[in-house]
Amino acid sequence: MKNTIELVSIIVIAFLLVFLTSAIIFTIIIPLNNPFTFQFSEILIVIFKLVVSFGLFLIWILVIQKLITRYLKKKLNL
Amino acid sequence: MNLGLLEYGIVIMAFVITYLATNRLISILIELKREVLDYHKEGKKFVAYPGGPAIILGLISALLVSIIITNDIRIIAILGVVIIAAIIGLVDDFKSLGGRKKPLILLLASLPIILLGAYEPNLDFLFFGSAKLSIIYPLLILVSIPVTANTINTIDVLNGVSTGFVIITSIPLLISLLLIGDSSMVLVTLILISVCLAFFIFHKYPSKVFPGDSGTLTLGAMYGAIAIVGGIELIGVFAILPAILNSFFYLSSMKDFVEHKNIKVRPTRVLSDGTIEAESNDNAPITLVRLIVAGNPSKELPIVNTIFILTIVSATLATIIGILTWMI
Repeated sequence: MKNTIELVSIIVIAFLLVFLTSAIIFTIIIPLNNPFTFQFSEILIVIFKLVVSFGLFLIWILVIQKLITRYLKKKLNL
Repeated sequence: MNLGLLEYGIVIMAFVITYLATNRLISILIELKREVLDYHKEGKKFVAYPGGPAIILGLISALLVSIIITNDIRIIAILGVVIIAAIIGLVDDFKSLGGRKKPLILLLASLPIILLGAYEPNLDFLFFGSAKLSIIYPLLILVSIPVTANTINTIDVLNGVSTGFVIITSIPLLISLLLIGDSSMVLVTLILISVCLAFFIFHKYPSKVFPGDSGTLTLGAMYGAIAIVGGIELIGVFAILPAILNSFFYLSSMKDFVEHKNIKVRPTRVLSDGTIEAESNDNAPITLVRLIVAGNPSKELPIVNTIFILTIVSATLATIIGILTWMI
């Protein structure tokens, strides 16, 4: 199959990006300590961690989507 | 960690039951005229559908015996997931649930794991350490089972793909569980592989039977349940990356949960000689098959083989992560 190598590259890039995203979440986001002392700050920090993690996940989707759109345009001459 | 003769016997039993049940089910389905058009074949070829009940029978019988001999509550949770996903799949096979309703109803399949507490709320990832997610983890479980079930369901578009895909992606889970030394989960993973192998004999190109939603949703839900209960969630995610990407491409291009049969512009076209080519219409959904045949029209079998090659790549990467996690 002509497209196999290009698709394998896309899978590997997607894998590396998931790896990188997980590394950022595990080493930076999750261990983040609560710098505030006011009530409900604990909940606020959990929400902050969730939003940042979700944002990173969205960035992953956008990058992969761009990659795929470019690939399709090239292959189908769109 | 050692599996005894009894455990190997259960794995063989799962294979034999699924093989015999599928063989018998095909005859029954043909007699009842429950056949669907194999869309990607030259001419009009009809295939027996749904073969899911044979998969369900193989899984449930083997899991029940496993519970008796291991007395492990985690296998009870997995059995619960399988039963609920199977019921939802069977309902969907006979009375379509619709693209939006199905993922929502599948949330129910996650409940046995949460209610029985058959999980550790930790995520371990290589040298990046372990994260304790006491509050968020049950929510992640709730979402994960519908995601894996729908992911396997969405990739089931060509002969033999869904069962072949589950066989390949279960190997990284099996290796990781062997390294951890979790004999109960090794047994459950072997049961999943064994049932898929037995069904694959009939499902491989050219298919004699299609698993239907009852088959694919059950296999996907069980795969997700093993990854969660076995504590190897990230390895499970890495292994099914081609199917996850396929679902994301599909969802992002359709911008809604739309059933395959309700798509207005199909992602591919089948020519009179059985060659499959990519649709160039901008409104066509982006799928893995469309990407494979883009600018390169092919017959069905080479496309199936390409999907398997991509799956082997992701499964190998997942296995490497599994081995490294164990070593570190």
